[in-house]
Amino acid sequence: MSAERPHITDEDALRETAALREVWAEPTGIVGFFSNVSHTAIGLRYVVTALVFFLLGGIEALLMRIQLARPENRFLGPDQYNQIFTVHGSTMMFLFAVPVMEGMAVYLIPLMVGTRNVAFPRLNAFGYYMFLCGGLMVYAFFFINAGPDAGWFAYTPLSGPQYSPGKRVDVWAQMITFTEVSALAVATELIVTILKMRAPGMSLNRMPLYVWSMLVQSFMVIFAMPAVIVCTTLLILDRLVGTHFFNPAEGGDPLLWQHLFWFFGHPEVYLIFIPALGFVSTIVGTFSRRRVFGYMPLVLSLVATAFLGFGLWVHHMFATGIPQLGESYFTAASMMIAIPSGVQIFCWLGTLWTGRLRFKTPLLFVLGFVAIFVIGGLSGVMLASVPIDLQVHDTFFVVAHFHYVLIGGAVFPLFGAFFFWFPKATGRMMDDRLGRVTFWLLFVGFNLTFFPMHQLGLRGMPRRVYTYPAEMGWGPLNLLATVGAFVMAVAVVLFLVNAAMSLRAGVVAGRDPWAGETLEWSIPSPTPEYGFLFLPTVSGRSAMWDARPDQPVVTGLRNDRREILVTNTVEATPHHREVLPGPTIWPFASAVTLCALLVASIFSPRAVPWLVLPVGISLLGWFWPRGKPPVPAPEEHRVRARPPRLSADTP
Amino acid sequence: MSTRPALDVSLLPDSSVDTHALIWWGQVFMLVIEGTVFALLVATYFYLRFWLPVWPPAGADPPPLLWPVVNLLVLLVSVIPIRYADKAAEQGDRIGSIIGLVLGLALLIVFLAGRAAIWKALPFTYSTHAYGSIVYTVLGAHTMHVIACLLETVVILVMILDPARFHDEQRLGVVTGGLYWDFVAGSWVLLFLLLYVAPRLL
Repeated sequence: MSAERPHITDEDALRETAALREVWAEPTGIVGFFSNVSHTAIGLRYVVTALVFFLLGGIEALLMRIQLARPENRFLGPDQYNQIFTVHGSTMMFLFAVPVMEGMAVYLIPLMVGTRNVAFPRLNAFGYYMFLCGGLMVYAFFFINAGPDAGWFAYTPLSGPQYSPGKRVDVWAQMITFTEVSALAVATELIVTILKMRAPGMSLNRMPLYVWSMLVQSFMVIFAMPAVIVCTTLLILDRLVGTHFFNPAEGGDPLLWQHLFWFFGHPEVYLIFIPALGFVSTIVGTFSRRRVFGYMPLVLSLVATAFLGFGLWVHHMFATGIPQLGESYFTAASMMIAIPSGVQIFCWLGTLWTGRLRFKTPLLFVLGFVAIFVIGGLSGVMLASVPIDLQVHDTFFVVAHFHYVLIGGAVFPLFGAFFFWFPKATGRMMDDRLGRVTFWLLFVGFNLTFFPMHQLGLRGMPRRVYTYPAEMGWGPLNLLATVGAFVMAVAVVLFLVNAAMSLRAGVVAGRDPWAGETLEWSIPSPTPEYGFLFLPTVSGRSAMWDARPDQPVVTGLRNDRREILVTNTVEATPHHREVLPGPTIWPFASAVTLCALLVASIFSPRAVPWLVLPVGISLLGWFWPRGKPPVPAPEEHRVRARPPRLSADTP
Repeated sequence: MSTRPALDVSLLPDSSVDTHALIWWGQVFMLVIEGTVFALLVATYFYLRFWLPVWPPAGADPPPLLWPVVNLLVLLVSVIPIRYADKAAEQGDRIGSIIGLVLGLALLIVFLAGRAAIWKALPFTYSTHAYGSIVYTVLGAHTMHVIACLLETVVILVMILDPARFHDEQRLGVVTGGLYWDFVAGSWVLLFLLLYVAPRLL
């Protein structure tokens, strides 16, 4: 029947496979490793690197829990404790949570929208190496006992030149610069990939919910991250060259830091959490075996959360003596967040209620998310109220709250996502039975660790103290929390064992082990280097479930260079073809030289003009056009649709 | 033998030198990021100003207007040849692009020299007081953009001097470079109002 229309045959597919394999091949060898610009390779590197930092941050958490397990413990000294809680917080926020979400998106978004790479593959590689350099730098200093020690939000004046001499805070501030550059790079390329490279037919109102969540998240990154770049830059200027932004003696103001930092810091929480909402929607839909109920309300809730997220920052500052009108405004804004969150929870519950559930590990993690996140949301509504906030400010109640929203809101869906997409990335399933055990250990361990902290906070235990006297009576609950932390650690180890075993001997997954809804399940697992053999077209909101038996594919792209299809922003109708750049070492070189420059600037501003030179050379190498100008395509370098035949042909 | 229906795109153009190009979009979002940085510096300026009874602090009167205004005009005029270079690039006119870029660069160098002279004449430094800190930071941030714009344009110019290289990719370079130029000039209008006019009016 399809022969009556323009069509392709098996023979065309074989030809295309051979040609694409050659032109999209990932380079090999050491230089090749650092030249790779494939979104699957870079995405996996992001995720694996972020997981290594997650383990390091987790070990720091265990050290703190050991120290706090009993009163007047001497396991860690106060200075060590300061460094450890600072590095723990900074690691989890900047080196784990944000990059792991970016990495998942770098891997998944091109596949979900039906294209072959992100819009700017070299920028993508550059962003990854910036992130890696930042992480390595902060840990290098941490291991030589020069780790940052002013808390993950480094309040001035504590972090200013007067109270934090030495280089510790500078290291922290530069690390932020590295990771923000990386996040901004990913945000830009994701927005352009999503808006301009969607498969024909995937109009905006048919985009998968995960793609929506990453679009919203990327816009948040673009408006939030500049604030932290500005404030860390001002801090470094205050510390290194003697400006007075945060120095009240010369007309500066320490509170300026808090405004700038939280203008970034509050959206930061949502830009960790919004991708997780995308995971949840995807997993809920697939394991309920129905379309997610309330597509439009879910999308609008994401957008509303993003907008509201920028109007809440002062609720971190209720204890600083801001005007009462301001307090009331930010209380109301904070409570409003409960509305889109409630709408989303309602839509997911509606989907689960009316679906035919498959209780596999990913769904368990999502259900765990709903339970924990609701508790975190409730303590959030409590904290939004100024009198309660003043009472429990800087106590373990706050620690409990944000671990409930961050671990509950991001890490649980993330682990669900790992189990869900592991087969796509590796070709093998993770073990479901071990997965369930992991989930229950993590769920129980998590609540054991953090629920008692609510009580500790209400009883007045401040955060960031390295020990406490026995007569305060905080010992037993702290011991309970420490036990819980070790249960969580066992769960994480079990997850790693599961991943390692499944990688070698897991059940072979095939293309679509979950009967998934989105385009990545239409290609082989693990993802081939070129992604789709022929770019797909889409005829409904659920690309896979709505595909007709004879859903057309895109042909006519040249296969002797890395061509992709650019489509219109709203309707995703084909507009033109464009060539994506191939592998090159220069983004890596640019990241390394820029890293050297930024680290050197901490120690000797005079070195900066000299180090600008290698950065400039690497950037020139990156942008200098190489090779011949394009020539018109010879016909043998593409597979074109065969003209329609008369229906009399068909057997 | 099985067959699949196909949507053939081989007749679509294989590049775009206008607002549909991926790199044009990338440039736009980079400018949104840069614009946000400038906006936050403006917010910082007013935040610092808010807490001080006298602004600028004693000894630092509002900076004189004449030369900064002249310099602003130089920068604004430089947009004209760059616009011309853009249009020429879109139409495939290499010589026109080169002439536009060279004129624009000449004006930009004049602007930079003016910037240096005006800056040097300021009666305070970044470490005198918070006012000095924010003025220097705003000037520094904008000057970095001017220098980046200058270097980027030089690179683009050198590339298109070779006729063989004047294909779509480099034409697009001229167009997105022009976008950046517009941003550098446009943002200075606002920052100029901030540094030179706001202390007189507010």
